Amino acid sequence: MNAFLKFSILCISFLSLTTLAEEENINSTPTTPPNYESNWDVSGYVKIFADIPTNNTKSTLYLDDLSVYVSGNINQWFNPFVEAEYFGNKLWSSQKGEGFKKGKFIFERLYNDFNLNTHDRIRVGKFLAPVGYWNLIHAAPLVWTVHRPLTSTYSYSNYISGLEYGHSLNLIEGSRIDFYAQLSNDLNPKPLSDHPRRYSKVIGASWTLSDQLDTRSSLDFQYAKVKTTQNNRLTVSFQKIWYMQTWDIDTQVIYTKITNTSAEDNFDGTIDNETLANEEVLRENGWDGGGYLQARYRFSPQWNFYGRGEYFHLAIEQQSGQSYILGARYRLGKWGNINLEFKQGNGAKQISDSGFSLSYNAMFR
Amino acid sequence: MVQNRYLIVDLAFLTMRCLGDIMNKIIALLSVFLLLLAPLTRAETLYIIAHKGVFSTQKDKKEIADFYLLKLKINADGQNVIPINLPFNHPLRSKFSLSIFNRSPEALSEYWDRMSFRGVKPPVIQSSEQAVMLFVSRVNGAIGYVSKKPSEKLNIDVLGEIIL
Repeated sequence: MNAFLKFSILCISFLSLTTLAEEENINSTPTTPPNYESNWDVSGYVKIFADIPTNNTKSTLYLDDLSVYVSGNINQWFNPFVEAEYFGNKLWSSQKGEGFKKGKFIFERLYNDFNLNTHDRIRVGKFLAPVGYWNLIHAAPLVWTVHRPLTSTYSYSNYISGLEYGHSLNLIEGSRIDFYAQLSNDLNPKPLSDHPRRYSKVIGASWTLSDQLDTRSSLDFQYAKVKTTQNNRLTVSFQKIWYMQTWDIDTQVIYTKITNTSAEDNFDGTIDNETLANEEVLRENGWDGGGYLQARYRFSPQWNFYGRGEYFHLAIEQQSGQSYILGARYRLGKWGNINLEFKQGNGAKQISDSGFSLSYNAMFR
Repeated sequence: MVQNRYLIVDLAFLTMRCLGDIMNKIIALLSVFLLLLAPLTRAETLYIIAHKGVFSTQKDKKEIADFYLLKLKINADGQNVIPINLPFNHPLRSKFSLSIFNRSPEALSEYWDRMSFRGVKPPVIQSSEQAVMLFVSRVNGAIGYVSKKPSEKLNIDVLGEIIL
């Protein structure tokens, strides 16, 4: 039995045993003793979405994410976190001969936290790079739009396979500083068809200025060496989010300076076919960068409306791109959310697709 | 309570006798009427409770919020604090959310989902106020909220009272 089938069975079994819920696991009988013995938290989320382009190309239905994550808070030294994700499963396409295509399975996160004290922590393993908040909470039910902004994902290493030291400056305000390093290749990376590049070395720092119920802001830096191409990418990013009574405003700007002075001279011939297919190989110096501004309006407990504008420049493209999104999310209560979204893009191909998207997403715990 | 009502009525009529003109009598009568109605529309009280001995002093809204927002996780003695919540649709949870955080239950639910995704365990849910009291009385470190003052026989301290 292959890994895909095993994982599917595991997920189906898990889903059948859990109740889809917004954020809770309710004891059924109030008179029984409380069952708080577990230091483990098992959760997950699912996202299914249909893309219906407006330029007469094919419509597609995806099982985009099926993720299960388990966190344990056992003691000071043993606080593991594992997230297994099945993604990119094409369920249906309007184009003949392009029907079902099975997805891929990766460990998206796999780490342990060592809590030195209440303010200091060391994390070892594979974890999400703290560059902007979107990268840290990218699960579909936690973000508003079906399409993730390019600003939040494209120009830096999203994952770190290494270690991180974090120091909390103020527990209440949530201000903290984190330093991280990856000294070798990515652990269990996503295929290059789903992720623009792989990295051999990454170092970075993230300064979270505040992380509270009503606001979050961070200033992030990352220096990354791209595997094989010898590209060096130096990124700086700033994000600010306001969570208000009926409005959320979210903005991020990012700039990545790319240098590649020695790639052609030092190219050792070990490049693989997968990397060759990527347009970034041996390209010239340049920069990636852009920003977005997103707003969400809570019309009622069920209905939320949102919009976003984004500009992004890519070093590998002749022209930059812009996109505009308008959408609505309807909460189905404990059964999750339905999003209907319209995106209008132009310019660079990575951002220029236009059309409607319909998505179902839910957290389960 | 009944004695208080009679006292209020007596005071109001005494006031009326002292007032000469009709206008003042009308105002006094209206006052009596409103005062008699007051006990019927009495404000609800939210009791913030904790397992006995977890905290040595009362806590204000801000301190309670810090534990529920998972900013603070231990008490002064280094003991883990376990915040307990009611189900999403429970009316008292809605009042608690608005009173303590000035946010809807939906907004807090989104916050806790984000924290859970980052590996921080959100508050434990109990299905009823009775279950919350039972949990808090039995589990060391637990804090919760209920609308009725817990019996002194239970192993519970009241950290604060909030008039809703």
